This record gives sequence, structure tokens and C-alpha cells, in this order.
Amino acid sequence: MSTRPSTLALLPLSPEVATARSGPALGARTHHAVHGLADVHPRLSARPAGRRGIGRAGIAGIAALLLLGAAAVAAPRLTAVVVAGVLIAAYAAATGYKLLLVRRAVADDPTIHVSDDDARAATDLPVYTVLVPAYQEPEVVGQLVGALAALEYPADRLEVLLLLEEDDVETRAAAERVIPGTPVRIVVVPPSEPRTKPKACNFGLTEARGEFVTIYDAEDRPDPLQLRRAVVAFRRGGEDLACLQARLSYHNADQNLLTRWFTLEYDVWFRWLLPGLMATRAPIPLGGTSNHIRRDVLVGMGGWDAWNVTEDADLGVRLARHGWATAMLGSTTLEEANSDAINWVKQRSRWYKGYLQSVLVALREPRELYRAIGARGIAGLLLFVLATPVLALLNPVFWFLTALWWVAEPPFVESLFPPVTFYLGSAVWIIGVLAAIHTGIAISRVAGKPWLAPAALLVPLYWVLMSLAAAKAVLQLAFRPSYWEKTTHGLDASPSSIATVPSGSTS
Amino acid sequence: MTTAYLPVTTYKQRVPATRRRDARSSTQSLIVTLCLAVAFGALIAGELLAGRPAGVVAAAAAALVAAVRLRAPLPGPRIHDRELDLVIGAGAAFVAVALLVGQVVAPGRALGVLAVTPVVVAVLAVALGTRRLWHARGIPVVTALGWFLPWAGPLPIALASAGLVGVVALLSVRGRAVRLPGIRGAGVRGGTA
Repeated sequence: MSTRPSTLALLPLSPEVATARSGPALGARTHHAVHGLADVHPRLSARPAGRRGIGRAGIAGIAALLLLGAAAVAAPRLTAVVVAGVLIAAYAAATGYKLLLVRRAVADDPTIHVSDDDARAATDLPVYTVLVPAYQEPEVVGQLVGALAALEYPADRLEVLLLLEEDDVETRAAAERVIPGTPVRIVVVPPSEPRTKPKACNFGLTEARGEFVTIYDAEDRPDPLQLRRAVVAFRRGGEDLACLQARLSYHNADQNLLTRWFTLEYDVWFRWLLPGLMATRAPIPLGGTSNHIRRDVLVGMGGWDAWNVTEDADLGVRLARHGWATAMLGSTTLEEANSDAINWVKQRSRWYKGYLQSVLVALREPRELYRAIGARGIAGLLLFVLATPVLALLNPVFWFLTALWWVAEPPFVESLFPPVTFYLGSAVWIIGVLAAIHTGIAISRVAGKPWLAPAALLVPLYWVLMSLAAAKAVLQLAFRPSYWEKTTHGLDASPSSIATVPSGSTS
Repeated sequence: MTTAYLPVTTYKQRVPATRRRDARSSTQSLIVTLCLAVAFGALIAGELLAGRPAGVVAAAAAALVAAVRLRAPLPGPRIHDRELDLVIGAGAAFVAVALLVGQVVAPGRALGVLAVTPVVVAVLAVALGTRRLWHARGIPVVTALGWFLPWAGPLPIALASAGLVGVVALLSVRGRAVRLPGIRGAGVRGGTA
């Protein structure tokens, strides 16, 4: 199902407000960054409902829970059997869907590749805006300047906006020391709630003048030709191509087992799963950085939702439901893999919470969503974006039941799984585990990192961390939906991790 | 305009890694000690009631591991997450209750003895945090071995089992037990134990 690309009806922003530095106009600019989307299209935003109540989706959810509770009281055993059967069917569907995505990507990778020669031959390059939100990161500002200096793009057409919070005096001082003579310009974001990355990006977007916009984190090491590749890819793409997602990977994969798992997961995600989604024309949950977007479309979409903690994934869904295409770009940005388990759980819980937010927001208008993205799109949204956190949350339940059966063989466990459910569940379990290990080993070779293959053998242990993150995410979704969970960076201290900026590989 | 604003949050933060010892209050330490003492006491009582006197070795070994590991400085970056502590604590408590119910329903399997392990996990996670729990993971591992190993078997098997518990306890004390490289505190500036 295809929809003619469209943008949202939004309140125009005057030039005075768009570049305001002080006074009431600055207040209006800040308000626009926070509420620009939510004020005009509240049903597309994850902004808390506040006094407006819980909404239709909330009522439907509560009604479903009440119904389930009533069924559990009236017929507890039957209800438990049905719930277990439905969950196992969901596992089977999600596992099958992921395998399908991998197959599609492996069989016919739709990622757009632009060779080094073609990238360097590009002429008439447009102004390109790079947004770099940073907070309390004075020590990486120099690294940012180094990475940007490595970008092969004409300096007079490169607009780099370093988005710093007004009260982050240390980072501002460090930035002001190193940016003279570079295309970097500091944009000071006034303090306001929620203090999130998308709000800072929205604030910077109002004064951006590039034809295309991308986001890098301060410590990112993008492929030097990435901007040129994106320009060429946009020119090759159709008129409905609004966004390109470059691959993300990690420069500190070898730091410990956690970073090895994380690197394998990211490589599967950006080399197979997202291209698979692209091939099936399902919405692509964009990664945190290195997504390149046409500025006119981004502004027309209302920018990022300042209230969604995975604003990038949400933007990917919104682009799809308004008929815009997103494609994968064969260019890699290296980031820092989270190497500490507690820090990892915090980061992952934010991602899972954001996925849940994005899906719940999208499902507020299910019929409109179906008309916009069709059955394939909804399948992708449910079996990929929603299933990822939900199945991670459910895993411990089935692990517990399995362990309980091994140690005590209680009859109620046996009664939960009639033959159909039992055999389907066993098949999904075995196939799922083997597929996870196999894809991990395979991607380690495809990505040119065969030394990561042994870590793939232990990858089911990684799921324990995912389950903890999912439980935390659900708790936060209920009580602190827009809370931005802090992620600590700078834990990649090994000298070898200060690796090179990725070359212009398009593999 | 919606005014359902939330507490000030930041989207990134750099925290220096240190090896500084956790500032635990004496009350906290006392509570943890009491909880572990009760848990180990229950483990000993349970093993004796189950006719597996060699299980006492597991309780003694767990106590030794606790005495050493809980006094050691906490390595790794000073990153903590109270919500994660509570999630782990709640999950472990649920498992403990389920096992205790199993003890009542099927007394022959000594599930009550096994419940000591999630109790220890819950106590350490909630009282001292997930990082300390991981640092002292040898304690629940040894208590689990107390249930799992075939104590009631012939003397050589019991001796071998007790030896295994001893080895695990010793490695835990030395900090190398059941290590999953990388899940421990990251190799950060300041290093790890």
C-alpha cells in the first residue's frame, strides 16, 4: 500500500523567532522546540496527556486487562492455557518475521551503495547541516572537531551546529576554545523541560539552512565521505525518498564480552534487519545518529517529538505513515559500545521505552495507520518494533516455567502447554536460539570481524540483560514516560579503541 | 498547553570511574548481615531436615565468600541504577516465594533450601545494589550448589561435591568465580578488580 507523500499542517515560524537569542522570541522558539509537534498534532506526540485524561487507547488497554482478569477468575486454567498459546504464537510470528527480514536482506540487499569515486565526483553540493547535541562532554569536543575535519565536504557548504545546554558551562568553554577556524557554530539551548536530545535538535533545526540535515553524537566517527554519499543517494532516489539511515557500528568491539555482543547485535540490526524492513516497505525505526533527512520534509513533519525518548524511531514511523521512503545507506559511523552492564541496561531501557512509546502513539489511530502503511507496515511495526521489547519482557516468564519444570515438575506447568502449544513453543525456542547464534556467527564474518564469532555462541546470556532492560522500560513507561535515562559515555579507555575513522568502505 | 512537566533530566552524562569504596551505612551493613545470617541458617536447617548434613559446607562456604567479597572495594565505574536493583530484587523475591510454595506442595524436593539463593540475590540487590551483587555473585552460586549437588549420595560423591563447593567459594573469594568476561565491571579508567 503506498500513500502520496505529505507533510503536516503546522504553525509557521517567523524568521525572528527561528533565530532568536533572547527575549520573548527566544521563549517562543523554545516553546516551538518542545511543543511544535505536540501542540498542533497531539495524537502524533508522546507528550503526557496531563489533564486531558488517559485517552481512548488507555481506556481500551484497561478494558482489555479487566476482561483478562475476569476471565482468569471465571476460568483460570483455560485462560492461562489461552494466554500461553497466544504468547507462543507471538513468539513464533516474531521469530519467523525476523528470519524473513534477514533472508530478504541477504538475498537482495536494498542498501544504497555509493562508491568512493562517485561520492568524490559529486558536484554542485548543497549546504549540509550537521546537528551535534552534547551535554557535559567537554573532553570529546576536540574529538568532534577532529571527526568533522575528516569529513570530505566543502567547508563553505557545511553547517555544523553544536547544540549545548545553557547551563553546561564546562562544555561550552571547551567548545569555544577549539572551534575557531572550523565550520562549527555553537547554539545555546535555554533550559526547559523535558531536557532531551530531540528538544535540543528541534531548537537547532529552526536556524538550520542546509538542504539536508543529519545528527552525529559528539564522539561519533563518521565515514569521511558519508555526506557526499548521502547527497548522491538522494539524487539517485525517488522524489519520495526523505531519509537515509547510515550504518552504525562500534570502535571498541574488543573491549569485553558485552561490547562484542553489542557489536554483533548492531551489525545484524543495520546490515540485515533494517535493510530487510526496507525491502518489505515497513517503517524503519531510525538509529540514534547518522540519519540524513531532507530538511523540508523534516520541518514538514514537525521535527522530532521532544517527548519521545527514541525520537529517531518515532520519526521513522511518522515518515512512513505520511508516505515518505527511508533507505539504508552503505556508509558506517563508528560509535562507542556501552561496556558496562548497568550502564547498558539503562541505555537499552530507554530504547525499549521509546519503541513502546512510538508504537502506542502510532496505534492511537489504527485505521488511519492501516490506510497509510498497509498490512506489511503494521506487521513490521508489531512484529519488529513492538515485539522486540515485549518478548524481552516475557522471556523470564518462560525461563522460570522451564526451570520450575526441571526442578519440581509441577503439574500446572504441564497443563499450561497442551501438545500444540508445547511443540510449537519448543520449536520456536530451539530455532530461535540456533538462529540467533547462527546470525551472530554469520554477521561476524560478513562484517569482517570473525574474531567476534565465539561471543555469538553465548548470545542467549545477552538476553538476560535485555529482559532486565525491558522490565525497567515498562516500569518507566508507566510512571516516568518522558524521563530520559542517562547513558554514561567515555568508558572506552583502551588506547586501541582510539581507532581510525572508518574509511570509505561501502561494504 | 500541557504542563505535565517532568523532573529535569539530562541525555548524557560522563561519570569518572573510580575505585572508591561504597559508602554504606552501618545500619545497611547490619541489615544485610542479619538477612544473610537468616538465609544461611535456613540453608543449614533445610539441609539437615532434608537429611543432607553435608549441605552445611555450602552454607559455611557462602558465609566465607560473603565475609570476604562484601568487604572488598567495589570496582568499576560509579554507575548505579536503583530501578534495576528493585527489578532484580522483585524478580528474585517472586522466585523465592514460588519455591517456598513448592516446598509446601512437594516437600521431598527441598525447594525451600533452593529458595535461599533468590533470597540472597534479592537482599544483595536491594540493600547493596546490582553492582555489588555482581561483584559478590559467588554467594548465591555457592548456596545454589548447596541444593543442586547430590549431597545424599555415597561418601565419595558427597566429598567431591563438597570439594566443588570449596573450589567455587575459593575462586569467588579470589574474584574469578563464574566470570563471564565483560559482564563484570567494564575495563574502564581506573581498572577493575
